[in-house]
Amino acid sequence: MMLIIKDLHVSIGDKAILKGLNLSINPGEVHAIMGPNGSGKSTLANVLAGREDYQITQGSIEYQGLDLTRLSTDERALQGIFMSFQYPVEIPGVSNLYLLKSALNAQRKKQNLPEIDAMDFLNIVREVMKQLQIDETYLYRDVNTGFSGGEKKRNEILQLLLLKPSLCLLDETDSGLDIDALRIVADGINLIRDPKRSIIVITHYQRLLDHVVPDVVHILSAGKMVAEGDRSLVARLEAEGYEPFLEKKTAGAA
Amino acid sequence: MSTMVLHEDRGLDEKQVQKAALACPVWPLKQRLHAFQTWQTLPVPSVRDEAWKYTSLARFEKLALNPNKASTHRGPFKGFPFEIKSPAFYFINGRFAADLSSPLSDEIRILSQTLAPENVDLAQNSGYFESLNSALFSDGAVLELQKNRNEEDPIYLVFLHDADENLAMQHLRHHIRVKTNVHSACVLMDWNLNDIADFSTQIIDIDLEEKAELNCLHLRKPHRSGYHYTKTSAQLAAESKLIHFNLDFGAKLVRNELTVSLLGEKARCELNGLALALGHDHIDNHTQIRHLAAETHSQEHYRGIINDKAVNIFHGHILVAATAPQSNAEQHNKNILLSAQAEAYAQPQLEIYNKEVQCTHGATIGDLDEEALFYLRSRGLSDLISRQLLILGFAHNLLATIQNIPLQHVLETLIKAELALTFDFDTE
Amino acid sequence: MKTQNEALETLLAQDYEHGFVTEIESDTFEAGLNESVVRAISKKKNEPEFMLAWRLKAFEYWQSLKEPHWAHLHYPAIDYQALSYYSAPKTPGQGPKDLSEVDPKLIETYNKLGIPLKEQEWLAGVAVDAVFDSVSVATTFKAKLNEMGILFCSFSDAVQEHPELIQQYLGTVVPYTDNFFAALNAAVFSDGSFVYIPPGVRCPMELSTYFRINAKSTGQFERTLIIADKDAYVSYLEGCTAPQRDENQLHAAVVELVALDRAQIKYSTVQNWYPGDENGLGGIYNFVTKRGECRGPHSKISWTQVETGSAITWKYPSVILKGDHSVGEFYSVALTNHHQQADTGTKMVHLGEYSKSTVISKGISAGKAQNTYRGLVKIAASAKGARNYTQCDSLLMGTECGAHTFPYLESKNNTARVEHEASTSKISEDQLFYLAQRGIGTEDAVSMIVNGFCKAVMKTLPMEFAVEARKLLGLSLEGAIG
Repeated sequence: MMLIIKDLHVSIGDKAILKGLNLSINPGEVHAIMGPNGSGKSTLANVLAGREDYQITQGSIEYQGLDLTRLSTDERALQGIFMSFQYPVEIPGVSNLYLLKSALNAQRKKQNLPEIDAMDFLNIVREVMKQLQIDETYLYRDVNTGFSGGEKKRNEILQLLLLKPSLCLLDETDSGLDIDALRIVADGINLIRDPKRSIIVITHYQRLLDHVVPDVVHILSAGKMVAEGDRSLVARLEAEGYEPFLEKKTAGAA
Repeated sequence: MSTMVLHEDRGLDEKQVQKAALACPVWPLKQRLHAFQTWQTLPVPSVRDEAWKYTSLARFEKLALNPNKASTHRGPFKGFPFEIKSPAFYFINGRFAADLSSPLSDEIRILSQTLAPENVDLAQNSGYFESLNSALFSDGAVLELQKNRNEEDPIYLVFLHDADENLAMQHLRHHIRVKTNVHSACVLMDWNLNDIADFSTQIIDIDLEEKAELNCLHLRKPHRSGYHYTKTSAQLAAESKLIHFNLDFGAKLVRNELTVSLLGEKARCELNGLALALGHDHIDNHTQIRHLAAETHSQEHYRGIINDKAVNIFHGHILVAATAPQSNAEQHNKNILLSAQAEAYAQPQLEIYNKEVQCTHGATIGDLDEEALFYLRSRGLSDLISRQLLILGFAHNLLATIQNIPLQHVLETLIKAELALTFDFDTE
Repeated sequence: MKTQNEALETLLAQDYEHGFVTEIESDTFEAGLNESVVRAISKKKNEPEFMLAWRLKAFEYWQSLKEPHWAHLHYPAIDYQALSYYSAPKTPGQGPKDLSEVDPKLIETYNKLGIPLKEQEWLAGVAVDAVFDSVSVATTFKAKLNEMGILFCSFSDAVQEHPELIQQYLGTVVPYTDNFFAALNAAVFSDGSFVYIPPGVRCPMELSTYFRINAKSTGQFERTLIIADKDAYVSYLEGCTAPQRDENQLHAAVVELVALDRAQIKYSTVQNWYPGDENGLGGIYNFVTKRGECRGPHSKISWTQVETGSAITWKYPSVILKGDHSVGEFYSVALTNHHQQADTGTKMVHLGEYSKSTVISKGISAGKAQNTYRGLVKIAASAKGARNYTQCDSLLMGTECGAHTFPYLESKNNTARVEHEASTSKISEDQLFYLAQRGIGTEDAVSMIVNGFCKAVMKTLPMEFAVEARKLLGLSLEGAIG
């Protein structure tokens, strides 16, 4: 198994957000997680990435046989977990190029590989940038600083393609993208679909899932998974909204 | 009278004033003695004075100060990392070192060798440190910049401190005038050569004539236990532009007062400042930008990196007079506190008397941005590296405004060494 | 009605029965300030010994002080010996007999604000039944509040009836040593309000001086003390939303708020003392010390002020955030027109861990007015994880006005975060043109834009207060653009 989450309870401060979430993902699978605002979708991604102000009060997360909760954020990243941020952070004064190189070298160091040669590195990056139709000047700009929403999201996918993680968490990567950018990003994601790699796509809308076809679709509501199905679930959701699923949940709870 | 005794106890008396007058006769002894008396009778600024609210001179007030001896040191200068190719003028222990310096010219003269006392107005500098400087200054540079010169090829003024006694004094005074339409650049450096605490004061007057531009970087790397006061006053005529960068490596006390008067229409200034306050450093930057004419513009970015038990103070006053419509002013002050005992004080101030203006200011004090830290760590960078990266990024943001790239690199290396940053930031 | 009127007269007359000390025989003290005046005030109010002792210490301290002049204000020197330090509540007949004796400009303003006739009379100081209506209203409320154990009375009554609470809390937030005006107030304050909310009680209504008869003519040196015990809640409204007739040139009030564990106090002010005329003549000098202390964990104190009055305003409602996770808020609109000068802001002193403060200040300058925000945010070494956010915006409307921002940020804890932002703006010709094109006249447009500018603050006011405050902003700006 790539990921096994059992009965996960998470709170921020006094507020419980995830309330007994279960999720299992096999290698090579693409799982879509959908749900209304405030249902806990982004919390799940952040908890998996290891954000410190989220407290796990109950439950377990097993990733490739490891107890994920024992690892720090950067250790998780080096173990192959990558989160594409819903709101990529601006880091003034630190160039994109530097971040990409440092991240790649941190990974290589973990694998006991020598630091990447500057020229080789540039060649790899240029290749990926071409795929994503990103201008090269962007390498020398500060991380996400002054980027448009679309540029930031493309930057996330660039890092994803470069770092080749085992488990990708795409947190509303489609928001803020126009049709063309969405296609480019989707193509990028499809490119890394691999029998050894799993992808969690968190989204509100059908449109990204038209391009990146999920194996399993989950509906998250009030901190719990309330429905699971194949891609037809997306169409049903699009037609009927979340309402029927939420009612089912209430009925179940009662 | 008790103050007189005290001053003599501290090693200051009229004999030294006489010596200074001999060394630099540009200013008559009588005026110097007057300044000395002023200094003796002036009350020492206290934390009850609004302008000295966060900076106490209580300790300094009791310290014995020593005269500076001539130094025969002619290099190599320990730790001095700059390879200077453009014209450079050296002062060691407050004395001009002709043998180390480029030849003097119409553009560059030395105060002690100048006969006509121009731009020298004693009454303008009547504060505590100013009057001490007026009494005791030993030399300085007089720049009358008439030729275009870009930022990559500035004039260097290097002030080396080679004290052989504790708190040996160095008092300098400079006049920089940029002629109409001339674009020029200069770099001022205070550099301590040995392990003895130094005390220095500097008074710098800058005059930009119409459409003149000056790019001026002032770097101070004194002894950690030293005391340093700098007052810079700039007057900008119509359509002139001043770009000023102030870089401070700390000391026991660093106090900088920078006043820029935008006197002519469309005059503009950009003031940048970076303070690295470590150990027991105390760095106090007071800036004032006076918008006095129409369509004047100012931008100010001051930042502090504060660690250990150090203190950083920023006091930035922006005045927009009723006579300055269509002006705008933008001021930013950011401080990062890296240790539990570090302290930061910020006073960004706007005083505005005209409605046809746009002014903003912002100030922050805090630790490194948690979100950015998380982002970097989620990309596999360790906590330590992520922190260092953010710190250097914070400094780099300002350093990037320096167009003299080799100089920018040297400064970045210096900063990394100062902050003990271990990684390589080279993005080549 | 007549019997009620008689009852009121009796009530008001009671004060006089206590008699005066021998050296001063009239119901208004002669001008001048010395120790015997302080003793006389205390004696007249029949105060217990601890009060007199406290007043005398304050007076002694005040004598050692000089009037502060650091604020961005200019006014002629105040002769403290030329003022009278005690003025008894007026008997009916002393004020204007009816509205025809009141300044027509004031009446005009009342009509614009839509204030009922009876209230107009009350506000203008006409001693008639309107006052009495308020008393009866107040009495009804009082009974209800008493049932819940809430104490809401005049400061003088509290000194007589609950001396233990006064002794426990008086001067613990604003000590008489705090500043020049606080020392003066402590020595000579005549009366004010007292509120105590017992543990766990949520005060069911907005408390207001409006409903308290003896709030009238409490004079220049008012003193208010509000205590919210553990888990209690109270919202307090100060002042009323119409310009008040007042002959006193100098006001030096003190307000102390104490919030114990998890308690919340919301204090709203609409201040509109006489600002002076368009030439800057007359008007009130308002030097107020307001401070709250979040003494217990998770307590919260929130100040909201809309300042449109006074010739001079010197006022910094502050919060001492002592309790862990305590919260301080300051929302302010300060509008100055003509020759008014305001130097106002706040102090947020963070001592407790994870204490949080928010400061939103909106300054509007018109005419020849000077408007200054002055604020201190202080993070003590103990304030781990503290947060402050401050936003100060100035709107300049006059050609000769000034808008100034003087914040002080001090931090001694690296886990804390302090953020300050300020900006200036003006009402643009484009905005006015756009609104004019939609059929909105200049004055309404200005009022609309100003209200929009102040929205973040206005929405924190209790509803009925906000409606009147909005009207008041419009009125204060009449003729500001044109």
